Amino acid sequence: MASARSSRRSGSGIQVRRATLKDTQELVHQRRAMWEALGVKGKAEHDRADRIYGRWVRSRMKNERLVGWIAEKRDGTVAGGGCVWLQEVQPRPHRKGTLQPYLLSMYTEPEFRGHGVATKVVEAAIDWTKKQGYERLQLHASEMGRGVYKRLGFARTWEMRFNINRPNR
Amino acid sequence: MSASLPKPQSASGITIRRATLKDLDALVSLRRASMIELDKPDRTILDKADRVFHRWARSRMKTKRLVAWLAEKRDGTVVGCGCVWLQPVHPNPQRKRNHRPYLLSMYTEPKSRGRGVATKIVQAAMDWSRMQGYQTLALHSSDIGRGVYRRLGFKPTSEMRVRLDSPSPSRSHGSRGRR
Repeated sequence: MASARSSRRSGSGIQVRRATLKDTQELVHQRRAMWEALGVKGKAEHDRADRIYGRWVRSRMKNERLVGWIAEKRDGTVAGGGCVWLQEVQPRPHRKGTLQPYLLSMYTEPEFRGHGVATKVVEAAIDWTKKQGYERLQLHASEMGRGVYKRLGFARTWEMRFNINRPNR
Repeated sequence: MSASLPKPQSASGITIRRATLKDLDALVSLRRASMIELDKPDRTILDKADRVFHRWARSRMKTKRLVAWLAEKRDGTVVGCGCVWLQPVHPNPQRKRNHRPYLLSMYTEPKSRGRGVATKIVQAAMDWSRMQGYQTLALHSSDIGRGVYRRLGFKPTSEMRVRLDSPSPSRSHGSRGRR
């Protein structure tokens, strides 16, 4: 799964490269930090989620349903990352197959915010998704991410949700 | 599967009941009708879509990952439908299971609209999801359906999408208002 051009450099010295199975712990850390930033609490819950996510990410990387990117400085310090998962969706008349690329686990380390790290990761994801022949890339945007995604051409969809336990939310 | 099914509900002579594998052809043809209404794709595309959906829905009904409801008149004519699929999702610390109920193939034939058919089907889907222990029900709404979902308490999510078939991301998007 190695790509010919595996990294992008920028003025700030942060490059984006493809993640490998060796990066699983880093991806798990980023996802945990993402949930913490979103307000999910409880060490036991996070530890359990780490184990589940680690297994989930590894098995999907192995069967090529998930790819990841790590943004890092020249010295190897990790600045952030994100993943694209090929999620199963309903069949559609004009689309090939039922896999829809979905961007998840986007995270930038606090000390690297404001340096365009997320933008670089999403651009790598868009690039990969296009080269694989998919027509769309989808995600659920956090408050923090919305601006980045809008600037890169993302628009809201008409997905709606009913909260069974809290109908007014 | 729940131990006791809720009684069929009536909306001016129309009853909602759970679909079985025997109803798959009806589900396929209602879905075809909704595609024609949205888009008018040509016949080859529609025929292929029928076959694909038939296979896809059949295997999922058999393994209980997809349930469906039909709306029928007293004489048994089918006038509407909706399905809930347990869609695989990424793991979430706040969610016990790795799939979520997702509503699709909602359709009411034009002659039977305005009588609460879609509302009754969605309510059946919500009841089923609740009884199975799920916390949410998601969907992508068409222009026609949006009012029904809003009135039932559905809210927009934070989902966003970019189209990649143009050389550079464009500012005007077709994704809102399209299926």
